This record gives sequence, structure tokens and C-alpha cells, in this order.
Amino acid sequence: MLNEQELVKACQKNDRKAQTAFYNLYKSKLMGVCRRYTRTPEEAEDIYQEAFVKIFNNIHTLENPKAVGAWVRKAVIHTAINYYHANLKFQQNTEYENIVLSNDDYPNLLSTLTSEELLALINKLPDGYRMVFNLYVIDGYNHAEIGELLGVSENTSKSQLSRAKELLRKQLKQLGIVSYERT
Amino acid sequence: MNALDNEKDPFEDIFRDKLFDFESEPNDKLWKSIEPQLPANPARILPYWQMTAVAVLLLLTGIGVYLMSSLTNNETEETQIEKTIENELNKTINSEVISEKNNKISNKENKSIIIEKKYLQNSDKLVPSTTESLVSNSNIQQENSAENKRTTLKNQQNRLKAEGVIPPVNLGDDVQPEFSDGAKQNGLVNQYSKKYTPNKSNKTNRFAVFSGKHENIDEESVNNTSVEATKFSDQRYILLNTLDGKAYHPFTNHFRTPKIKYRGPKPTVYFKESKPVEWYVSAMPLINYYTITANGNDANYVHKIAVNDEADRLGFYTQAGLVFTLSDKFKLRTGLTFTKTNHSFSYQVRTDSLVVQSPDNTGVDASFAELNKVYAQSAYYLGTKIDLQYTFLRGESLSHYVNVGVEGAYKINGSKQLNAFANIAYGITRQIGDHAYLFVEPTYSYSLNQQSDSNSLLLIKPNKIGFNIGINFKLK
Repeated sequence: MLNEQELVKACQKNDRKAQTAFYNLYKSKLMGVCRRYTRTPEEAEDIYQEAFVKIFNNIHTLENPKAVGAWVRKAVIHTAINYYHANLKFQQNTEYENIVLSNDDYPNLLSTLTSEELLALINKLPDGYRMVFNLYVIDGYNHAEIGELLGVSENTSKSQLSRAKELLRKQLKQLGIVSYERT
Repeated sequence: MNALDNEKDPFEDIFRDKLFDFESEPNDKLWKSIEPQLPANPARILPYWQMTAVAVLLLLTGIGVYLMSSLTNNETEETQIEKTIENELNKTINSEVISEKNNKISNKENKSIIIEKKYLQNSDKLVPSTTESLVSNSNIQQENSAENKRTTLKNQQNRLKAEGVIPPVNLGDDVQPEFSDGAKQNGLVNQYSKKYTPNKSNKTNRFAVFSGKHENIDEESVNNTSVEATKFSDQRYILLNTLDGKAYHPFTNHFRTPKIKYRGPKPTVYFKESKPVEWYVSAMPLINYYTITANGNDANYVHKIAVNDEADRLGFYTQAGLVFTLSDKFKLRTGLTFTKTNHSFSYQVRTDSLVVQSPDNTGVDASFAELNKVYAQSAYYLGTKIDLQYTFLRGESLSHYVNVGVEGAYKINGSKQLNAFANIAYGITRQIGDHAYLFVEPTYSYSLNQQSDSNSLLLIKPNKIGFNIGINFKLK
């Protein structure tokens, strides 16, 4: 059984078995990233396929196999950004305001929500908000970096993050969640 | 990152904690669509020293083939003409018994009468020359004079005709001696000799002509005639273009320097085709596959064309040049070529000489004499070529292509001559290194123009068949 670094080296030689093993190793993690950055599972699959092809075609440029985990995550994020520029940027996002969540039985603690439930909230954010929220809150980019990645100013990134959080809070409030303390 | 940009926000922390490592199982069908787009499993990547060794081996093999073929052809470096005029009675025209009274024409029992008519008048290259000669193996030098002998022969033939001994059927007017016009006859002989016996005046014809004017008639030489040269080709397509680390960098650059300015939707460019330039070198043994035909009217006299020695047909061909990528499927290859070819074959020329023998001293047989000739050539060519290469199948490890092109080759030894060839080849290429591709390329080279031997008896197309083996190196 190859370890992760040996797997990377084998993939750099385009060994098909290693590529399959590498895919199986990262497929769930990377699909998770794709789901966060997109509105629908179909969009996530588009980005997912494109990202993996890029990864395998460029893995020979990875000089430090130890960093492969971060490298593949960045690959997916950048693919998602490209997708956003190509497909999502000019779409209208009006449906968010019409979301009606009337379940009064939701727990009042945010931390009690599952990952899937949180993901559903993020998916419903307008595309630009969702991009900034993911990049800043979950993946750790600062506003300057986000501004460069998305082609917007740093202040735009900050304001979009603020609005994204505001929309989420509003949505959560409709679910009866007003406390954001950790359990 | 944002650690310094913002104070701790429990709202954000909860999202980060729950979603940073969020995993979602993808549909299995996705891998089926991804897998065909992955870079193919390459051939074993050889270190550069191994690639160099392969190239050197190829060159040494080529040189070895070249030297071996040179050795085997030393004897035929110059055009050889084996003029072994035998009294082959391949085609007996007539056989007549000459009565005893004719024997008194000659004093010796072994005398033979040879009535020669060298070539027919209807051949514009072979000037007709009708002569009669009396050949005496032992006493020819003792004759008083050519004129006396000619007179004797004339008398003899007149007697034979009068008695119906010499049949007039096949000989016709062409065979009739024309001693009455000596000047004309001499002129014809001289013309013939000048044309066909350039450097053989010191040789002695076994059938020494009695008159002394036709000593060399049978001594025909076939000068070393340039023949052929060819070239083959080949070529290759880049199978694994995605392996070229220098081809694309956008993905990597994004990570190293996140200075990305998006000015609108862009098409994906991950599979952008580069158009590299490659240089190539190849060598191949080749087999000369000459097309040999008799020239025009001479078809009636040239026959029994046969290859002397199959090993003589072995040649050597090497080429080097550049390959330009025109598109995904087309490449243009051009370069210089060097060719070493050999060929040797024998053929018979039926002369118009009528040979009459008297094997038993009681009669004679008459037939046309046959000349056994050998055409042999060893030629060196320098040439240039251009090929168009079409890749029609690209598999995981092998690419298949066809190659068509033309080549001009100039013979640099012997008689200078320019030959043109049309080349067609089927090639298979495989990656053997980061920038190196091995290709094999069976090639057929068809001669577009003809050569002829010195007597213009034959027309020769020096076609070639070869098995080209070479390496491409990508330059960019």
C-alpha cells in the first residue's frame, strides 16, 4: 500500500492505478468543497470533474508531495472560482428572498445543525456572497486575496461577507435559531 | 489569511468547524467521465543517458549496415560488364548441312562461318551493321588480306545461296552482305564502334572479325549508370502532450501567485494544444526494389532480366530534420537525407549475329548470338524531403499515423543525376522520455523518374522499401 507521498509520485508518472487510488482518497473531501461553492449538486459535479482533470494533468508540477492535501483543495477552490466567473456571476439570485422555512421546531442553537443543514443554507446564498463566505469563513482567505481572486475590491469583499452573514442570520432566525454559541 | 482581519466570531467558527472537513460522496459515474481525460500511462521514462544510448545504437547499426553493404558491393563499385559471348544456341534459326564441297573454302576442319548482323536496322540506337566474316581460330592471321577474304566469302555465300543451302527466310535483306559498298559499310561500322565500344579497343573478340574492322563490335560496355536513390520518412505525433511540463502553467501559477484578474467569462484552456517543434533523426535499412523494363524497341532484344544476388539489394538510409506541428492531427516534416543503394542484375541481349557452327565438320548450326550482361550499381545520394503527417489514431501508449511526401535526391558518385521520389509510410510512435518519442515507419519510396543504362537498353526505376526507425526530440 502506497502512502500519500508515494501515491503522488506515482501519479506524477501517470500511473493509472495510482490515479485511481488517489481519486478514491480525495473524492469525498473534494466533493464536499465543491458542494460548498455551488448552488446545486449538478454544478458541484461539473466543478468536481473539471478539478480532478486539472489535478491529474498538473500534479507533475507539485514539487512538495507532502502538501498535496492543501494543493488539491486549492485546485478545487480555484476551479470553483473559474466556474463562478464563467457561469454564475451574471445570474440573478432572487430566490433567496423567497425562501420560506416555517419549521418552528428547529433547535435554537446553531451548533446543533448538521453539516448538511448548514450547507443547505450556504447553497442558497447569492453566488457572490457564497463565494466570499466560503473563501473567508471556511477556507481562510483574507479580503485582499479574495478581492484578487474574484476581481473585486477588498471593500466589496468585506461588504459581501457582511451581507452574507446577515442573510444567514436572517434565515436562521426564521428557523428559530438566535444563539450562535458553541455547544 | 483572515486571522488578523477579524476578531473571533462564534457564528463563523461554527460554520468553519462543521464545513471545513465536510465530505460528500460523489456519484461513481463521475470517475468514468474523468478517467478518459487523464494523462495516459506513459511508456517507461528513460533517463537521458539511456535515450542517448538508444540513439547511438541506432546510428551504429546504420553505419554497420552501410559498411557491410559497401563491402559486399566492392566488386560492383564500378559498372561491370561481363561480356561472355558464348555460342548459346538459344534460338536456332536454322540448321543446315553444308556439303563437303563447301569445306574446301577453308583449310581447317574447325573453321566456322559466322554471319553477323549486329543489330537490326529498326533500332534507332543500335546502328545496323551487316557483315559477313569468316572466322578461323588458327589461321586468321595468316590470311593474305581482308579484301581477299571478303571476296572469298562473297563467292562462298553466292554459291550457298545458289544452291539453296543458306535459307533466305529469316535473314531477309538485312543479312545480305553489301561488300560492293565498302565505304558505306565502313562508315556504319565506325559509327557503331564509336557508339558502343568507347574503351574496349584493346580487347579481343572471341569471334575476331575477319575484316579487322569489326573487332570490337561484340565488345559492348554498359557504363556505370546512375540509378536511384531514395528516401523514406516517417514521422510521429505527440501522444502525451499533457506530460509536457513546459506546455502549461496557468494552474500552477494560480497557486503560487494569486494575482488573477478576471475580466469576464473565459473558456477553459486546460487542454490547450501546444504546437511544439521537434527535431528528428532516423536510420533504416532498405531494400532496393527496382522496376526494370526494356527501352522501347529494344524489348525484342532484352530479356531474362534477373536479380543477381538478393543480398546486393540491401541499402542504407538516414535522415534528420525538423517536425512542425500544424494542428492536432497534422505535422510537417522536412529534413536532409543520405542514401546508399545497391543493385545488381543480369540480362541477356539478343544480337542479330547469326552464328553458324560446324561441330562435326559435316554441317553447321546457325543461331542468333546472345550477350550476357550485368548491370550493377552502388550509388550515394544526398537529398531533401518534405512530408505531411496525419495522425489518425492516438491510443494510450501508441499513436498511429500515415506519412506522404516527396524527396529530391542527387547522386554524388559516378554520373551525377537527380532523382525524385514519392514516399508513403505508415508509422507508429511511442513516448520514451519526457521529450523523446521513438517511431518506426515502414516506408515505400516510388521513383518518379527513370534512369537508363549507358546503352539505353533498359529503363530503371530505383524504388525502395525500408523500415525506418528513429527518435523525435521535442524542442519547445
